[in-house]
Amino acid sequence: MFINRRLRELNLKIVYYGPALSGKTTNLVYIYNHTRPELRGDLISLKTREDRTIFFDYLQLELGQIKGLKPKFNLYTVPGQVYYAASRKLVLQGADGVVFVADSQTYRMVDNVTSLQDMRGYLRELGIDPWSVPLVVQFNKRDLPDAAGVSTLRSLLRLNRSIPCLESVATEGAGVFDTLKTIINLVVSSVQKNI
Amino acid sequence: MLSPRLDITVEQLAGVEKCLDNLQQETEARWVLLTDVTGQFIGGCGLLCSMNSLNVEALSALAAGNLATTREMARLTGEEARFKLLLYEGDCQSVYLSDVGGEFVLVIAFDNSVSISAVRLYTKQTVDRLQEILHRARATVSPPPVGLDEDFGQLLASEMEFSF
Ligand SMILES: Nc1nc2c(ncn2[C@@H]2O[C@H](COP(=O)(O)OP(=O)(O)OP(=O)(O)O)[C@@H](O)[C@H]2O)c(=O)[nH]1
Ligand SMILES: [Mg+2]
Repeated sequence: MFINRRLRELNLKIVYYGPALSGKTTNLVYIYNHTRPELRGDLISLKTREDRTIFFDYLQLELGQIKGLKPKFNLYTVPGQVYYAASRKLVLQGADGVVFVADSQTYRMVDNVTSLQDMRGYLRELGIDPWSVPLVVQFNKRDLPDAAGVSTLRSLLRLNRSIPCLESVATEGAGVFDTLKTIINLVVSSVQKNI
Repeated sequence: MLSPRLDITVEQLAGVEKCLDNLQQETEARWVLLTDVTGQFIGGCGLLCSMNSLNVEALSALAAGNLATTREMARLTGEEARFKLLLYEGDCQSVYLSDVGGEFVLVIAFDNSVSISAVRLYTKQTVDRLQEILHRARATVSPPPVGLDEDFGQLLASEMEFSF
């Protein structure tokens, strides 16, 4: 979080984390394509020729002033592929909130679990308490036939009731903005509590 | 613990911007930019002012990622100290990234006609001055900004319904 008192801006960083190919970049692309141009910056994607994220995607959103304060959101994705671990940790630095994008397909369950555990480990290494950082879980790819049930996903990922979980089909945009609004609301209420 | 907050007072920000202005003038730089290591734009001057502000923020995110990468490389290759700077040479301009106390990144873009040793010297002085100001900013505890109260969250939620 960065508070610029002269410009009266509140800058917050939100990171989309999750295993390879779970749909993190797809979320940002959808947000970019469905936001009024005056509210967003360019979508920056550091990716391979095959469209896989190599470092991060970055998108900035801003809203008009609220009570004289301008909220700005810096959205990042991490690269999900196993060998980009070092990059994932760098992107998590300074995160005020995390969206964990899980792949709902049954055969990806181990990847989801490992990725969530790794994330908590990196947060700890960065001095951020993984249990108090605002977290929203998105169960993506609900359109696929092999998608596991929501309660199964919740229990496999050991998500307690206080963690909001949303279903999505990011390619079609279903659940994408709901996820974004949920994490922003969570981050802002955590800021109010902790400031 | 949540991520550490960076809260800069109006005076401290003015001090930072003065440093950046001086550096730009002394080196005749195209532009100068300061970001924190998480990619958060803090201030800048020169040609940046005519750029879309959102692209300036993107530039900050990229610069921070860049220096973070070099730092990680330093660690993996057994370099005890950090790699403190990074130089990009283009055909007509160069960009120079410097580490500021491990917490911030100073970026300066200059024409290739400018002497690199002058840039190095003035950058080093600026880094020292910035470190002082930013160190103080970290230590200052200010009351929450006016407006960030109970209603804020609700107003934000309805603003989002309208905007997204
Ligand atoms: N059927 C289906 N496919 C999806 C959905 N969301 C994303 N995809 C597809 O999954 C693939 C990977 O999506 P990305 O958004 O690139 O995944 P990522 O998480 O950014 O992957 P990395 O950058 O490698 O970590 C693409 O082919 C998407 O079109 C979804 O909800 N349903
Ligand atoms: Mg990606």
